[in-house]
Amino acid sequence: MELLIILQYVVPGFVVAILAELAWMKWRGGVSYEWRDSVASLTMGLGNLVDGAMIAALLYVLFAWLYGFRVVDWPAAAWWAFPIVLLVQDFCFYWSHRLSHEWRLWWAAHVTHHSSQHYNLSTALRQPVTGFFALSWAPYALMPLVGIPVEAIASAHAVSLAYQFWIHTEAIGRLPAWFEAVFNTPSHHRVHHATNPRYLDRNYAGTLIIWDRLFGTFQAEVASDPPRYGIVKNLGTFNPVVIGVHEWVSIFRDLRAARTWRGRLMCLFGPPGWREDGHGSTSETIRDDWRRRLPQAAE
Amino acid sequence: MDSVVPLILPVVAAVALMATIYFVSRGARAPALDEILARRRLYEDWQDFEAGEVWISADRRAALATDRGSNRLGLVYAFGDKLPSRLLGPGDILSARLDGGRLVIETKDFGRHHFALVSTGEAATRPWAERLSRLAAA
Repeated sequence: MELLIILQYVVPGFVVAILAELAWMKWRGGVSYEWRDSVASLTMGLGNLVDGAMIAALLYVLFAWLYGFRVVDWPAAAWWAFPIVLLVQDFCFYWSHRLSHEWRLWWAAHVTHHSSQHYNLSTALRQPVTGFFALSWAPYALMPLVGIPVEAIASAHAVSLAYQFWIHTEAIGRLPAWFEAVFNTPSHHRVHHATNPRYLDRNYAGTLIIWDRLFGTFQAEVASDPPRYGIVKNLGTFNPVVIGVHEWVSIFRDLRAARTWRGRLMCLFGPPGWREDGHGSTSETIRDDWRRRLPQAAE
Repeated sequence: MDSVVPLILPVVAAVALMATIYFVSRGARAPALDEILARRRLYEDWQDFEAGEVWISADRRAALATDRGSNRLGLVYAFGDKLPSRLLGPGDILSARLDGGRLVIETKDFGRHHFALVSTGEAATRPWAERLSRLAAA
């Protein structure tokens, strides 16, 4: 119910922000929206509400049960504790997000969000519709186990989602250095959505960029290497169904063709792009090829 | 009624935004391809591909290129206002044929399996259809 009330406030804000971004693009010249791309993104945003409702229905029950096994008992529902709850939520987001790029099973759901070649506020709403099945919500199970009740988890999740909306834009360049050092920003997140070899699988942060700095996945935006958005092999379709399930189909085909148990396991938990025949291209092999091709640029 | 509003609101907002974005961004098209642009797109997208010979379709909305290091072909195509690309290697193609002034390629790719490239004439396009057919047979 709380999530429905939050929607009531968040949606008008999203609409105003997108209209403002469009007005800014008109003013500067060059609108980097493609209407069929945006229709797909917005349709998938609506689909994500259904997916999100399914996840919420499951997690309300599951996390309430896990809360009974909490290892720490502290007043996590108190107002003063909310920053700590946000910190724990953001830590869980980092790992859920990172593994959603490193495990193909989770990537199958998350790839939806990266499938647009545009980077604008409508891209923020292009969200997975199969997250429920991918189980990529699993890292959040840490939250009830450290004594955070379900209601506080839902509130923290809503704050995280709202924060991550505004960073999907090219309208904002660099923010003050102290802010860029601590928080996820449009510049950091442009890097995350880029397919340039330098930028692949970098900046997984939700709200705080400190996790990427801490775990060695941070990459600053480089002026001489402007981001090219999308995925390594761009889709070539605006069909929301194809966008939503294409990687699942691909996994299914690869599982059927796999000849070894290692191959089958890697189809699910190996990096996207991995192939049993050794001819695949993962983020790491692409970056290695790039370093070989342009050693000076890679330094 | 109070619980219905938050459910209807996202749908109304999405439809309103779709209409606005249509009116603001309609007419956006991918830039017309030439050899330099096709080479650049392939160079940017694929670190292990070095374009050799390049063919541009008659409407300049698609391009094919050979790879100096393998028998793969690079495909650049207009999609909305962008120019994404593909590498087509053995096992990626189902069929390729010249049909009604178009080079029609069917791939195994679930994301996009059908490409129809406008021919630049039988003599110039036939060798590309044959290269693609050889990949389909491999």
